[in-house]
Amino acid sequence: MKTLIEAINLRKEFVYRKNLFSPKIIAKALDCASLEIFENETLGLIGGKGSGKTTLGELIAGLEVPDCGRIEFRGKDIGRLKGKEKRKIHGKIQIVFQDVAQHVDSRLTIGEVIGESIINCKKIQKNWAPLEMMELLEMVGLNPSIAYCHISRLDEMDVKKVGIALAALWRPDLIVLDEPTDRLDQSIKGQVIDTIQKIKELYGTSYLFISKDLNTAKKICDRIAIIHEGRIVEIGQVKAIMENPESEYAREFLDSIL
Amino acid sequence: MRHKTILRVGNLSVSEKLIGKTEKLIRNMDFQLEQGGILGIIGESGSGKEYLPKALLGLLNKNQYNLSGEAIYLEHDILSMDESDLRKIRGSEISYVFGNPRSVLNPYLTIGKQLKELEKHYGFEGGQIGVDEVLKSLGIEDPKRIRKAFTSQLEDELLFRIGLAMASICRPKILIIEEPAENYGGMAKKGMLVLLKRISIEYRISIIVMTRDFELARLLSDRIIVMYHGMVVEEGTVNQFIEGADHPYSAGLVRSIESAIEKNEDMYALPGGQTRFGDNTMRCPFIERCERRKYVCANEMPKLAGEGLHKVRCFYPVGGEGL
Repeated sequence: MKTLIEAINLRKEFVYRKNLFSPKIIAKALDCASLEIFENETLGLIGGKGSGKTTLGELIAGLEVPDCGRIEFRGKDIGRLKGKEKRKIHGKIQIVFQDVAQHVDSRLTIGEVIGESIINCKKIQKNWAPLEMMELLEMVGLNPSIAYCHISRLDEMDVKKVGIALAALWRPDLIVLDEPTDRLDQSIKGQVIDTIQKIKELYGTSYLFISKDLNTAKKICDRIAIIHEGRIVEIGQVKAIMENPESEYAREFLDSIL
Repeated sequence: MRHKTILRVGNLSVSEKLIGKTEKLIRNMDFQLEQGGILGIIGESGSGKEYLPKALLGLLNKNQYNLSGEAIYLEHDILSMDESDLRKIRGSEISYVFGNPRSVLNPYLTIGKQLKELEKHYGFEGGQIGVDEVLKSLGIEDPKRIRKAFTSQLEDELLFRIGLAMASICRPKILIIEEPAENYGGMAKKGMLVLLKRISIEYRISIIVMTRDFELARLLSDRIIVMYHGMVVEEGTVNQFIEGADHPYSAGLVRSIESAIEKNEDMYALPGGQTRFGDNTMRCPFIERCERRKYVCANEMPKLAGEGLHKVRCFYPVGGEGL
């Protein structure tokens, strides 16, 4: 299997002050985290609250710059690229945020938001955008009539699907999914998972599936990494981790699953 | 031995007055809560379950919302009480833990000040030391630090525990809890479950848990009510749900959870998403997403019927065969 992306010894610290006069506080988000994602593979990144899983996802998506360490995409160091080449590679790595509604312009309708992205991505003329959009909405299983709605009018599952559609239209090689089934009713979680699987079958995308919910993750992931306090404590095939976890934390985590 | 009924809600309806129309949020809800029992109310977002505690505690503005029916707590009807009587019950007899503590606690005051305010109103035994003991028993390790902190400096889970402490510190008879462990990972969720079970036994509190997480309700409660579009669609004990839920919605819910745990099965999902029901009383609320619908479902509202404790609102219940 070919390696798609490789993160080597990533470190990230956030420095903040409690108030204007207090000394600086350093919060370690990531501490020597390394992982590898192969082509056409879903890697689950599982961890509790504040374990640094979202930070790792954002670093890989190129939204943050690591303090130390590097990220290689098909053998090229992402941090050293500039200009056109950088833009090209960032189009190949997309992220679906946990709070999609906060990252979409709430003044525009869904149709306008997706249409704008389609025009940017495919460099097509304006009047062709609606046709492409209908295809896209159908693919993620959304009713085309939501194109006239604003994001605040949609229910939670449709918002998540809009986020996935916005990422998938770029035909990326890797999508970072930040808790795609978070806050969803159990009865409809399967619909989002189906959509994710469908896109993988169509385009052969790899996923970094960030989640707290191990039951959902083990359904769609090929491999699983367990992260704790900024370190990857365990990484391996789903079956191997479920049956005999090596580290102390992973064992504790698996025991706590209801 | 049958337990004493502590709260009996009969025919409760809540509707909101909007411009030119009224929207029904809860329709003809009936249930009973036994002393020391834990009742789970399950419903997806938009099922109207969050209006139940607000109706019971008189938190809904009478100018905006219409209430009808009765809610009898120890031989008094709560819904027809006036404000001064309600104030005696609120907090000291029936307490409500909000699902989102960050929006309930005052961001300008320290937690200590807010606890002191509670003390002023209710006057607990043991004063500050007694409060610290309750905080400690609810898993808050250093009350001294917590008292000095503002809400913005604390984590969500800790804030929820503080909300729980504030609600249970007066030893109420009934505790209504909203979404106890919605966004916590595995370990925190397990801790919360153990804590709630312990509270109900130690303090002899009857608990109503409202959640969208069926798994949590199954482990915590002894009876479960499933709501859909403001209506009770199924009611029964936990064992009855595990053996086989009868309503297509709850059966789908149970199956989607079982398929998530099962190894060699694809994840099952109910078709469709949240649908708006409107005010149509002439058809089944679940008809648009139901796979078993027939002609009758579109023309008549099914009644909540069944023997004993197990009641279903469906013309063609799933029965033992499963979906």
